Amino acid sequence: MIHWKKGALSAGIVLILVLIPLFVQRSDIITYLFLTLLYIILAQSWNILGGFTGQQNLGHAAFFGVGALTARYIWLHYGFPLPLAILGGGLATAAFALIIGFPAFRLRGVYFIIGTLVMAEILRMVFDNVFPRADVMPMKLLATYNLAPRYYVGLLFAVLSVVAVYWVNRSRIGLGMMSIREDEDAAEATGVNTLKYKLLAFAISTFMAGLAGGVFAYYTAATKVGDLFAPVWTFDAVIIVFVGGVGTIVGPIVGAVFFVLLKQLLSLYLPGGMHVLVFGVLFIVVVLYLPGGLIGLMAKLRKKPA
Amino acid sequence: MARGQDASGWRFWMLEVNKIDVFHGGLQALWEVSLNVDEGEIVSLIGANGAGKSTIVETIASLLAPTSGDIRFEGVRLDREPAHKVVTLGVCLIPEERGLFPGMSVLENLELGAFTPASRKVREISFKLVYELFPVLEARKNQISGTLSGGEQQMVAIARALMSKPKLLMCDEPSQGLAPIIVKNIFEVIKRINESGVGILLVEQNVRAALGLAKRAYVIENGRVTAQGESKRLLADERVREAYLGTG
Repeated sequence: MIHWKKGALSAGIVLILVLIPLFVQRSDIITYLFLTLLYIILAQSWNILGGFTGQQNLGHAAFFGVGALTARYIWLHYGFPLPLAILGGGLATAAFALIIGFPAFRLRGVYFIIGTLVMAEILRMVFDNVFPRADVMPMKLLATYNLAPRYYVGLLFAVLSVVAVYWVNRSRIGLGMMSIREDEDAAEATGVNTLKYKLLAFAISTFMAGLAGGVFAYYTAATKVGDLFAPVWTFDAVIIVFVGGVGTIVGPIVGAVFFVLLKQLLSLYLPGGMHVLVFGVLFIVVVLYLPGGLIGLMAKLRKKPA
Repeated sequence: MARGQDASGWRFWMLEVNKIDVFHGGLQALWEVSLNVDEGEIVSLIGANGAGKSTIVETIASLLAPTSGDIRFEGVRLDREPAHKVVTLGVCLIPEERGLFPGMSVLENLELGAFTPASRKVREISFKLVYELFPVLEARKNQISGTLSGGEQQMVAIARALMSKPKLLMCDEPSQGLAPIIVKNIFEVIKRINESGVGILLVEQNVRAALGLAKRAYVIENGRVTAQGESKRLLADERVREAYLGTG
């Protein structure tokens, strides 16, 4: 019964999202919705490894960047059709992740966190130097640039990512991943091949981050390649997941809606860059006082007023 | 009791631990420990706190690696396999701290017990079996395991181990921190599990209870096996009585 209601609600929301561009022409609203969808993909991808598997990866920007760069390159310069280019970006990202995953998972706890953070920064610096100039879309594409197809691509991959996380969460893979988060040694001792499941979670997570990168590559008219690897992609995703509700499926969605809206508002009314400060404080407050995030808060409030 | 036989007719035990040395960091914890468990047998490891009993079962489970010696289960070298593979081969450890996944429900914990492909195939039957053994777990299957009482958590730990369809179950201090009435229950359950054909290697500080349950036992002192044999004989041994039963 509850299951059926949830399904109907989700279908309703998706239907409304599909119809919106037909009635709303304001580009700021479509941009807001697009960014929300993009961040849903990115946050869901981080949550697979960081939330469900308990491996906090602070180098997520690297995977967003590899996906974005690959997709944009093969789309613009090799003429791949867009869907194939985005998919290719995701696959290249997952392949790259598996290569660094073997050494990275030799590190545990805080060392894994530091290792991934450093790896992403190194990549950012390398790409900043290799491609010092901004990558701009060709004039032919810019002349016909339209937000609506970007929005629909974002919507498609956001829906796919939520469905994928939902499926993983209910499967044996999800069970193995969560057991690692709970207690890695105990997981190994009950028969979970922890390295295999960490690598699997890493591959799924980075594949989705690569897709998010590809969606962004399709959206952005011009970008410095180094910026695709900027730490902000990591930390935005982390903040969204924690504010929304870490290790849940709805959390990253709620978090993304809230985060993008707040970011737009704050950058309107606060002097440049100050919104980062607000998010920093917000993150600390959530981690300290609201470990369940907004999802946990809603569940608490629903229980109390009775 | 019939023992296995390899191709050349050499008889072997289900579990053979052969002269293992184990180090914790730089400190040697075990010296040339050897022990055997046969199919369907209950064997107990007794000894004082810190004698190395837990180290022995953790090494058999491949959570620790011996620096010398070897461990064979049905002829397969366990000390060369990763811990998750040892479970697949039919050896399951219930660790001292129970090793539950505290944030997950009882049901999820049990499902993780049947994680290996072979045990997953028969998990419906296993669920029936463990719910019959511990009816309270069926009533609480949706409860978060970290919120259960100590006795119930021990039941989840045993039930989860059974879900993996072990041939050898190693219980490390199953009575620890539990009320006497519950301890009695747990020991009865262990006996029933053994009667269904599962070999048991029991680590226990409650020497009287352990020797009452097990047919044979090994006495571990300072990382070495210092005595072994039939429980009855050990119970009568003056040295054992003096050291562990306080009735010299």
